[in-house]
Amino acid sequence: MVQKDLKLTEIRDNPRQHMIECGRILTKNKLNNICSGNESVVIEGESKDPEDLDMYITRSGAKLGHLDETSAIVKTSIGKYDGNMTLASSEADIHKEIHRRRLEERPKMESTACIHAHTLHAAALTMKYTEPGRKEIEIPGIYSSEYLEEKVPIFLSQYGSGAEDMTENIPDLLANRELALIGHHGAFGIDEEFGRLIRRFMELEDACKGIISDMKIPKREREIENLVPDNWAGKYRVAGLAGSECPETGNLEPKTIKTLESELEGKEVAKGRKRYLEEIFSELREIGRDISDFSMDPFGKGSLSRRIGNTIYITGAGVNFSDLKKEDVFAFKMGEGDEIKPGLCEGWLHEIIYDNISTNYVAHLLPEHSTRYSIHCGDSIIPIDVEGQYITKNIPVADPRSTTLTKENVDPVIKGIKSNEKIAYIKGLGGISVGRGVLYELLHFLESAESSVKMIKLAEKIGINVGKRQEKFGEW
Amino acid sequence: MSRVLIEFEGGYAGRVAEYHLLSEKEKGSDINEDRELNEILYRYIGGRGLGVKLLYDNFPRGTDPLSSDNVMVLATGPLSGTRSPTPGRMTLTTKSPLTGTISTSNSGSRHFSRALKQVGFDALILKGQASEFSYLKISREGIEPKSAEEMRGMSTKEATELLQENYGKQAGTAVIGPAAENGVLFANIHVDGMNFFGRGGQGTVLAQKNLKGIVVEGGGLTPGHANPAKFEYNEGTPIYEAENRGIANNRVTKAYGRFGTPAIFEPMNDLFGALPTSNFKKSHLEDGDELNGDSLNEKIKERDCGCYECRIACKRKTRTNHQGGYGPEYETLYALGSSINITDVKRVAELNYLCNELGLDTITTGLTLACAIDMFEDGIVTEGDTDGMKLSFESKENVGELIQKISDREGFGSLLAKGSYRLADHYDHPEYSMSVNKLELAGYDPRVLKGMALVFSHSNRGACHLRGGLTSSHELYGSPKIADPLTIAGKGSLAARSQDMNAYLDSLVACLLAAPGVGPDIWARLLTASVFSADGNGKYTPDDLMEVGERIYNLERWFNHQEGIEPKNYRLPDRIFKEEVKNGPNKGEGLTEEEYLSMEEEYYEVRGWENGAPTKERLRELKII
Repeated sequence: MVQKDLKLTEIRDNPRQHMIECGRILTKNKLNNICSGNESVVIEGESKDPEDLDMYITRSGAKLGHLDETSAIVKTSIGKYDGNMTLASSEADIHKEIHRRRLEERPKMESTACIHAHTLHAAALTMKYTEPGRKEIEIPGIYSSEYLEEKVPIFLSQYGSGAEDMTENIPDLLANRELALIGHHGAFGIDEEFGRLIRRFMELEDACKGIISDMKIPKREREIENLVPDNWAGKYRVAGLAGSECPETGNLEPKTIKTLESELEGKEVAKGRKRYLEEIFSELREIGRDISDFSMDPFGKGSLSRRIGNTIYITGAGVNFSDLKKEDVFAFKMGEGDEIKPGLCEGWLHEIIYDNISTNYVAHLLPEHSTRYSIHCGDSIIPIDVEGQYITKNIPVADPRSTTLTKENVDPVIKGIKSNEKIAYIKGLGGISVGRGVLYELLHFLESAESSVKMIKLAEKIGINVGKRQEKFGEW
Repeated sequence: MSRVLIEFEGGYAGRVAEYHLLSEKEKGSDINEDRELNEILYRYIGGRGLGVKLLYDNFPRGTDPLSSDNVMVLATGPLSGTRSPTPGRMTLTTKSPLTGTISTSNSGSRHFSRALKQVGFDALILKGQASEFSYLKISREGIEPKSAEEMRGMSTKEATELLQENYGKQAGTAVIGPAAENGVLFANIHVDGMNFFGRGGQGTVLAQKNLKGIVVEGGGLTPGHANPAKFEYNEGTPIYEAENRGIANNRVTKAYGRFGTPAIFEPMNDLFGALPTSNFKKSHLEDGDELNGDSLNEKIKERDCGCYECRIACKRKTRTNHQGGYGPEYETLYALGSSINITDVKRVAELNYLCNELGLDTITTGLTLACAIDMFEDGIVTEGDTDGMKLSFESKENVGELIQKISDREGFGSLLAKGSYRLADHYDHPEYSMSVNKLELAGYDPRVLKGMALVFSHSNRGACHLRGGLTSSHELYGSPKIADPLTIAGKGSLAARSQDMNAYLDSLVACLLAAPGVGPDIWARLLTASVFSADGNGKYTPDDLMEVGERIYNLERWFNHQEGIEPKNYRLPDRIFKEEVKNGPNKGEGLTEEEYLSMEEEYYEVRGWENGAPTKERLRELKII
């Protein structure tokens, strides 16, 4: 559904604010994943030479929904490679070239605003092309709309994201158009400001959704779906959690962040320690909201944890990620995982991962599409989209040969995570990702895997032989 | 890493020697013929690790760093001087006269590290004091003292040129300038006319040993790697991974190639507001664009250059209207620029040339001047103290004159020559010194880049950015991994891990600038292929390297502990805790002492230390004792 009348801060009055608002809308409307995509803005200056103009661009790894964070937007210039470029999005060179070409073609423009977003359905439609080069998608009249042209150009890179051929072709396609698709990846768009551009992205996604939904569900997809048992989400469990067939037997009830905070009252270091605990909690809460907003754990069976020193901070079993509270986060020491009372958290599982892999964070989520897919996909998920392939060419799927994950059958899971030190799935039990930097990086891995599976399913629907495509990616 | 090594098959030159300056006698051990030495190399690798271990084993406890009993250890590593990503580096380890702590410096070189390995030394322990002012000539024939009387008082540039004239342009040179001869506590050693052993007065210790410098006449073959195929630039080899993925295609390392270390200046000032300015009174420099990498390239750069066979080439040959030289580096732009409020890149470059020729550490020089100006503005220091000079952050005409006075130890310069802590303490206001353990903070405001608070306070040689500098790379660039600069949770782990990584990098010996793109997995493969053949008798894993780093860090801390450095000495200046950031993008940001203590608590937990020092049990676990 196209959202009309987007009111954004005037781009020329405050380009940063304009970008922040655009990022929020893109994210809220799911026109992009939480942790991918980028935006840039160029405002006409005193000089008419595009080379002299400043460019504001999102920082590498910035979340478009949270661009108000410190240094999330970087100021650089079209003409120079300056020190700030080191922090800019890895696609900054393409953005520069897009702005430069646009301003050459339309020198009277007072500003240019550029978005790159991972538009799922539009990207899926590009899957029907496999040979590198320029193609296009035709938008049937039934899906025509105010801002969408009849044909949207596509460029299929020989290599993938950030490749030289993209830096040449995408700016060329956008010199006189507002939208262009990158094969198996997403879309780039440019306009004078973001309001109209966002509407264009919305119309594109709506149209592509419509085109795909008009296609018949192939028999093969129905057959595959039949491999997934009924009530699958209720069948698979982690030992120790409520209702498990194999509960652990410990008696330890770890303290929560709330308890730890209350114990600090009156102590000399209370202020510093409170901030410390608050930061740990805030990061979990913020990612929890993203998880909820993007339905990354629809069955409420996931968990997040952070290890600092010998302490693990972990969300409890069945918490409400949309509104995480301090009493939902437990803290226990390494070595205590087995002692935790059944039903409280997945402590033993996280501890065993920290024990085997040098990481600071563990996320276990059950995103619906990828978790279902893991049940019948064999021993790996092979993404056929550029972003998924960029993260890992092959997501291992561990098979514990039981519907309950216990210490006895957890080895394949550890082996899977170790193989790329990013992400692995457990059949029917969701994905586990690990990382050293920040928690949202882990969400990015899982979200990307979920998108890759959605892309695989859409590709199946379009009639693409996914197996062959996966083989082709293997040649990269 | 439980087994004991049997034999090394490459990488090393073959000998660890000890040279007594008074008796002019050399003795030493050959690798693979001394089981104990092999064990040390296996556990400490080379460079800083080897230097720290050899210093610990040879240093008489409680020795005054300026006595003839102080010990200096010059060391290379398996990757020094050979085919590797950043092979021009080596280390010098001693007890610092400025800080009283252990002091290891990792310097690049164009010839020195290669030459030292060519003549067969992996490490050289210098003991005692020469009977006359001399320099050491090291060649295949051995170590020979030569009179340096004619070099007395020479600038580092003159001394380097003279040695190169006598021994050729390919000879490795390490010399001191007049500042060291005059006993300035923070004098450097100039290496090959371009790099420095700096921070902590390594030049001062060399001068005390009655040495003007060292020249190494190399030539011939450098030691080969045990598994040379792994050092061929073919897809899949560790050298390919390091140089292609890790350096040529890593955005941070690429920026160092493009701008040198001044690449940091722009994001530090513009995006983070973490550039200490006017003795940390501010954190953002107005008109900072004048000092950034772009400005330097545009206004004074003559050409890019680098250490021996380096794939990054971060050095800058520069020229102003009147003078020429190398640099300034980022830290100098901070210390002789923003710290004393100078915004003219040419002026900073000329002050940098002056310090380099006199052999002064630019960070300590700049921060000592900033401390003096700060106290002058607050009325603590007066014209009566400064030989009639007025000091101000607004008017800086006399900075050059003050630097010369420091080197000459003349008048007020004599007090400045002791560094900012002793200067401020002299006036009973130590809080004006922005230092830890008497070493001045490098150019990262720890109120903004909070991990750097721990890096500075728990650096084993005083407030140095190079003991755990990867923390700033995480916080600033998000490389190798993103870390939010403004948070405190997790920073104890990050700082400790970065310190351990820096310690093993200093032991290979490799350059820190390669670290954002080249991770422990690749370094472990490079080291393994360097010292063991394909079917050799050992293998280093990334975890092994981290363990080596942790071992080194603990031994250094233990050395300091034994030299009387107490936990309370590892403390940031009060200004960091008491004053918020006053300007720039992070205006209002602060770090309270309580917040810092929470970070420190985590740090101690990760380190397994009690009461601020390693326990005997921890030392045994790490096979240190």
